[in-house]
Amino acid sequence: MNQPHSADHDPVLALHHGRVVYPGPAGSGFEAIRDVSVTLHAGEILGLVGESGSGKSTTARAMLGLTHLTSGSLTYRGQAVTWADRRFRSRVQAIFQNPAGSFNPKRSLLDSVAEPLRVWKRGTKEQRRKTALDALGQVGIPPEVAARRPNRVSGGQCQRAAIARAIVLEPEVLICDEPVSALDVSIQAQILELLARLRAERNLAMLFISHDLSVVSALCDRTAVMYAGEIVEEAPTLTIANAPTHPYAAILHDAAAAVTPGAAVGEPLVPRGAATVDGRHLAGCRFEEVCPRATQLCVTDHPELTGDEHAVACHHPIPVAPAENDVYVRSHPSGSAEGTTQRSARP
Amino acid sequence: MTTTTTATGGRPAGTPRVRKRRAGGDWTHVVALAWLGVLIVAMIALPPILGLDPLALDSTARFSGPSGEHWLGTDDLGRDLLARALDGAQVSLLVGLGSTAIAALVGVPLGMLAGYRGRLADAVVSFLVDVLLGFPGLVLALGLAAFLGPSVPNVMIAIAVPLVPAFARLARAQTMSLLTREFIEASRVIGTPTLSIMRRDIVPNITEPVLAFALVNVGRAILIEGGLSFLGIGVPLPQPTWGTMINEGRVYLTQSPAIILAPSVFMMLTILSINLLADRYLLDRTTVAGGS
Amino acid sequence: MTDTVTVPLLSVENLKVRFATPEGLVTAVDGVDLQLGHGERLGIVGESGSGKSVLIRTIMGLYRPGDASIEGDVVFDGRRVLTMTPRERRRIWGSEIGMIFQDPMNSLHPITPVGAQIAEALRLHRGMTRKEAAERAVELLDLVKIADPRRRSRQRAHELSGGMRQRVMIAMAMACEPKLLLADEPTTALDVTVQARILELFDSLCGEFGIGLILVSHDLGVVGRHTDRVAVMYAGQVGETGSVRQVLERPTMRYTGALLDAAPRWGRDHQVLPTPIGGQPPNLLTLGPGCHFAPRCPGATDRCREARPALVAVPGQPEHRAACWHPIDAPDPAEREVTVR
Repeated sequence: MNQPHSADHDPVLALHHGRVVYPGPAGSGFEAIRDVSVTLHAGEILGLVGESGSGKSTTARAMLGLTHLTSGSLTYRGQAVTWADRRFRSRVQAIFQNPAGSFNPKRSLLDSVAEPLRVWKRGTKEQRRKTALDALGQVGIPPEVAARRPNRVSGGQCQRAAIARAIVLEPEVLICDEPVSALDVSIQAQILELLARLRAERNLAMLFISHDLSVVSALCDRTAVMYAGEIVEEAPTLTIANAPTHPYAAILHDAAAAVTPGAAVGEPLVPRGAATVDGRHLAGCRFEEVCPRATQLCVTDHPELTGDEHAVACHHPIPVAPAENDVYVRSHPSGSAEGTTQRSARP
Repeated sequence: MTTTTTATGGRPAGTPRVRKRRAGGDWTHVVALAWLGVLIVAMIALPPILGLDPLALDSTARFSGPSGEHWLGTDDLGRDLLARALDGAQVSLLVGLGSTAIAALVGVPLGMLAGYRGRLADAVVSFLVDVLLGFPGLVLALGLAAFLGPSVPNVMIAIAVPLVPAFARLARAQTMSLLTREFIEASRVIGTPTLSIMRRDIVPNITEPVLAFALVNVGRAILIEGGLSFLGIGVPLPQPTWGTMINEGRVYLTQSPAIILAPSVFMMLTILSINLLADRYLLDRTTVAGGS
Repeated sequence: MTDTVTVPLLSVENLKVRFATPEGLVTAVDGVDLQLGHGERLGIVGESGSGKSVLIRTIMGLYRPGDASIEGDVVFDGRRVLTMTPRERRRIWGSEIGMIFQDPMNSLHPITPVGAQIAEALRLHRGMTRKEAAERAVELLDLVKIADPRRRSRQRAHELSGGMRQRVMIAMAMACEPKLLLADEPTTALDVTVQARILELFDSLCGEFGIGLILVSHDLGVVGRHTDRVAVMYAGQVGETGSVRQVLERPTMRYTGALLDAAPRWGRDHQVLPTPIGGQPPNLLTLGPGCHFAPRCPGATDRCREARPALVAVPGQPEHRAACWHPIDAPDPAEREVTVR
């Protein structure tokens, strides 16, 4: 297992039982996330994987204080963060998916990177310029590129500048929402390396969101898998990458393995429905309509996320095979009624 | 569109169609600019040089055709038509630009507020906009002009009020589309105060569409001013405007069409030029946006 | 499907495509040679600026004379695509060559039901009656494994999920039983779980109907799993080509190797950060005289910067060709860090 980089025991930023409902027409609301708890420790990168609509971005926005929590709370160093708390603003920074889109098209990269310092009234104009150039230098953007507007630089350079802007205030937490999805493979690897370096140098706590399990597996210490607004499995990254126990995590894993060069694919778990079916309306498990392992119990009872080091929300988690076996066994829970045979792996 | 360049006859570069279209645009754009330039220069320079006085009566030369003394002829009272058209141009351009500016200065901040804040602010502004849009613009301008009484500032206000909703709507829509862009989110994450976001992130990025829209409205405002003055509730007499000149010439339409023709041609060319410039500006924006 | 060996379905010879831009002349495709047999699946891999999309758009004949200057030859089923009139091209689009793009939403008509859109192609190219065509459209939706095809055929594009829309696009491309299917990043906009199933669909369709497939992707994994042969493109040129096994397991050109190392993957008991390729994607306006990858290649020498290597056969491996002055010495496949589970 990965040794966490001098992980503090106290979380830096934590979302407790967060629920976000976006108001819809005629009183109906869309529940984007439900009962999501995320804890970020200094020097640790938490990966958040899921497909579009799973609530990853809403979780990120909630942790940035950009979205009102319908219920639940956000704490920074143990203290509750109120809506748009300014003190917290300089401590938690973000990187977004669209590199060019996260810069004001009318201003130079340097201007935009110096902007946080201006807002926080750090130093004189000249000092701010120097600090910004310094931060840009650290992410590998030379001054002549820094003077350009975002539409005149490549996506990778824009994303580097976005990272420079995020670190210029020396934050403790970095929220990265799909930071490499829009980039070429070779550039993607550059950004991953840069993030890993910054984490080590600055002991940053990071939330790293991606739809791609292989990217998360390369960088993150722990990984949480989201489905239909809930976290369904959370564990050390290598555990999820190699032996997922929630059927959805296993399907994600198979899909990632299927497009990873040279990866061995065992017998894949075949979803019953389109994997994008959204089970938010279901009374039981939200994955039930898709899940190849679902039983009657899954229809009626909503599984809770249980377990500590390796938490999973499933009535019938895939049992992990002994370590010496290269392929773990996926047996359907014995067809007996009610599926009372198996419960969550850990109490 | 005949055949493709083939194996042997490869030209070094295909002629980009984009450039051709732009060249066509350049031509009308130059003519439009030239007319507006000539009008403004003439408006400022000709009266002192030629000693033109829009109010001077020349009883010896009523209804005269174009001549060396009166380039465009005279009206029923023997006043010089060129002098009056140029003097009217000042008022028309002033009212056109002024009323559009007022409408933009009121409407754009309202629209930005509604778009950025959403919820209550949006509900209030949208309601006001809908109410204003409920009135036919011209009728509203008419009523306001009649109520406020004839004077140049009042005419500007009367014309500006019906234009405000359009600006508010445009600014609201533009602001809302910007809000989905990540750089606004990025600014909020930094902790930038709302006013600063509006000033530094939103205003510079909605300026271009607002300007292009404003340009079209300058033309419309000149037209409305003409209409109000034509009806006698615009700019007070004896100040000539294109609208009052057309109104006065109406009676003598058969006898001396030049009286109506002169202000009409000035008005038409001016509005056409402004619209052409606005079109070109809008086109440029869209091609640039599409390209990047 | 008879002359598989003698006459290729598609052959591209020394193709060059240039565009005039405000900044100068850009050579997007620079001397590409390709051959595709009946029922064969070719993957084209490349990053942004590699010219892969321009290449297949040229093969389709989508560029008009004013858009680009094109040299070389594209021969599809014995006919030269580049000298066809617009009318002839339209006749082969949809009937003999099917096309699938990245974003199905942009390619589907927003208010016509999807079934009617498929039927339209059938009536146009196959002269079917309205009723026959509608029946066939339902069959096709069933063929691409859309559940409840009859109901779906009456729905519009926005009522379908992204994966389902892409299936509709495939059904549409399959409608007239084309000989060649060109797919440009067909799964990039889709969720990973959907992606795998769409790619499996390609596999089964090509196998079943003997359709030639060109699959363009930035993703080595996608291409590696779902094609027979691969061409790796960089800055408008093919840097390496061969069978999937040859290219992905024993990469010879340094860019291919670097690209493989840059792809994220995971190990059984430890994490590996992918190895980035330094520098920026190639700028087609400022290409040097040497190997285009040289500015980013850690192993580049003066020779690489001065002269461009030719695409030559790799010793001992027929069909495997690479353009590199300093080819990677055939590594033991087992050494490469790729383990899952």
